[in-house]
Formats: sequence, structure tokens, C-alpha cells
Amino acid sequence: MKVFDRFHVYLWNGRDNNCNSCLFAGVLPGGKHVLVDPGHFVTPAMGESALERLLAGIRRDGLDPSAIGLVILTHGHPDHVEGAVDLARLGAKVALHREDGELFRRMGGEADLYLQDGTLELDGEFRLDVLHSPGHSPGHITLYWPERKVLVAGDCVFYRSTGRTDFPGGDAGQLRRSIERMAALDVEELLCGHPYGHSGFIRGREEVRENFRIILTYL
Amino acid sequence: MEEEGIKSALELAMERVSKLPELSAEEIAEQREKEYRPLGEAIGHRYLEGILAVGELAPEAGRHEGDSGRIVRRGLVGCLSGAIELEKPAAAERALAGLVALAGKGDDGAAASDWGRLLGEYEERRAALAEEQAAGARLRLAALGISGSAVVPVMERDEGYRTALAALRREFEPALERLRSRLRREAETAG
Repeated sequence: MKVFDRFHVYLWNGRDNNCNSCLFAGVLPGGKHVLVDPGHFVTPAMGESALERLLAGIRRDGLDPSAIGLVILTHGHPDHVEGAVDLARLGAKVALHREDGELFRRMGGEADLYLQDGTLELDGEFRLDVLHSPGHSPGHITLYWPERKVLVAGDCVFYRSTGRTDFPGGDAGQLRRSIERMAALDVEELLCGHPYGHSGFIRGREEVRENFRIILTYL
Repeated sequence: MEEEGIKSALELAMERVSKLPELSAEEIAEQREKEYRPLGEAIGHRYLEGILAVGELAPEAGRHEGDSGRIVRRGLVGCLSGAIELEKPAAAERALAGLVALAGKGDDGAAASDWGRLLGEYEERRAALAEEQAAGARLRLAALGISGSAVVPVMERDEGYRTALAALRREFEPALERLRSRLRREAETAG
């Protein structure tokens, strides 16, 4: 689904667990795209063809999946990264934080570059802020597009809840600090890592603020 | 007549053994080495994994006496000296402490100082090398339209870096081998 120019979201609506994805269209040289969190190739419990569904959604938006030049992984858990192994075979570069690199390697993938806290510049004119946001996993990152006030939060933030911290490397204190940092940003479009009890795409500054307020009240 | 024709299993086995060619002294030594060296190496691995304390090394190796004991100790010393690698400093320092203890020195400041100097020099050179190679890797990513302060090249996958790092390791290997060899000699002879 095209949200606005250059930004598309693909909200998972299957029965099994899988993540939400998004795509920054035409931001790389040659009109290539950046895909964030391709999710599972096939979901583990119900065998849903998750990657094929995602690629079909991208095609429906009039975009060519073979033009995905870079895949960014918010973190290294299988329900976010599995499809990246296949996309890498088709020529896409893969990026994630170094501290989750080992998780991706266990899935059979290899990062082409790591991302750390700082600015990611694409084709010299498109800018994303990368925030190292540990807590759900040690190398979790979130992406902020300041120009359109979009935050891709991965599994740090869901609708009225947060990501788990009981996986290896999880840390509730770190997650709280990561979320506090996100809450201080000016966000109008918040894409969560999963559609738990909601599509996971929270729109509008007030609704985003309310979500952070509720989360931080009990976290 | 019949009794003479029936042989016990023991008699059959002894008959077969008597037909085997005699082993030379070298072959016997080789067999003993194959039998006892792994025992020493296993003690070394248990120590490196933290299962044994440094004070337990000599008593563990000392369970075997004579030639077998010497082979076990050689296996142990070989295992520890082989663990002295610049890429794994924590394991190397544990191995070094084990070898110094086996040599009965308690605290060998010279070995620790030689190791510290080698490691310091190597890490400094490796960091400089990584920085130099990363600049090239950043340029290659920039050509794909990917740049900025968030971007960190994956040097482990960079062919140029790997080649240069292998050359750097080769450069340090003679000095490292001199240290290993000295520690090995002292630890073996002390036993």
C-alpha cells in the first residue's frame, strides 16, 4: 500500500506470526528500492507463503521487486529476516546492526554492511536516521525519516504494547530507554513490527503520542 | 586326537599374535604417542574451557608416570602453546598462565611482557589496516548510493582486508612462535 510518495507499507494479515514490512521506493541509484524487514519466507506453523505475498503486494503497487537494491533488517529474529536470505541471492544488499549479525548468520545470511546510530544517506539526497534501539534484541535498530515524520519501530513498539524482552539478549531497561528516545521524536506515521490487535500502522501525531504515553505508563 | 584339534579362543588369539611381525622401537613409540598424547591434549582443552583451574594442570598430567607421563605432558603443553594466538587473546592469556604454571615459575613476568608487547603491536597494526581498508569499502558502498555516518562496512567479508590481515598475521608469526617455543621448552623440561 502506497502511503505517500516514496513510502509503501505492507501490513501482514495472515493467520500465522509474521512481521509488517515497508519499502522506500526509488531512493537508490537507478530507481532501486529499499525494503525493510521482509519477514518469513514461509511462516513456520501454517506454511503461509509470506515472502511471495509481500512481493505480490509490491507488484500491485506498480513496483518491481527485482529492483530491491537494499534490505534493511530492524533486528535479526527469523520472523523479520528469513526472506532477506532469498532476496540477497537475487542481488540485494543486506544491512543490520553488527550486534544482531550472528542471528542473521544462523539463518544462513551474511550482512553486506552494518548500520549503527547515525545518518543513512541514499543516493546522496534521501536521508534516514538510524537509531540503535536495543532491548528486544541487542542489535535492534529503528528508522526515522524526518522529512515525512515516519518512524519504523520494528519490535520495540506495538499498538498499546511493546516487544518481548525474554529472548536471548533482551533487556527491559534498555527497551524502555530506546522507547523514550523514540517518543521524543516528532512522529506522524508509526509502523510497528507486528499487527498485534491492530494493523500495527499508527497514523497521526496525536494517536502516536497517545500510544507512547500508554506504553511508557506501564513499562 | 580330537582334543588336540580343538583350540580355545585364547590359543587362537595367541597364535595370531605370534604370526604378527615384531614392532620396531619407532613403531612402539609412535603407538604410545598416539595413545597418550590425546590424554594430555584433553587436559589442555578442559583447562582452556575453564573446567580445570591452573593449579590442577600439573596434578592431572602427573597421573601418568614414566614415558607415558612425558607424552601426556607433551600433549598438554602442545595444546596450550597452540592456543597462543593473537586473534584470541583471552584464550591465549589463559594458555600462557597454564604454561608458566607447568614450568613451575609461578609468575613469569618476561613471558607476559613479551606477549603483551606482541599483542599491543598487532592490535594497533590491525586497527590501522581495518581503517585503511574500510575507506575503500565505504567508497564501494557509496558507488551503490549507500553512505552516511550510520554505515559500517563489513570488513570480515572484504577480500582486500582479509588478504592484508593474513599477511599481517604471517609477519607476526615468527615472534609468536619464538614465544610459544620458549614456553613449551620450559614447561616440558620442568616436568
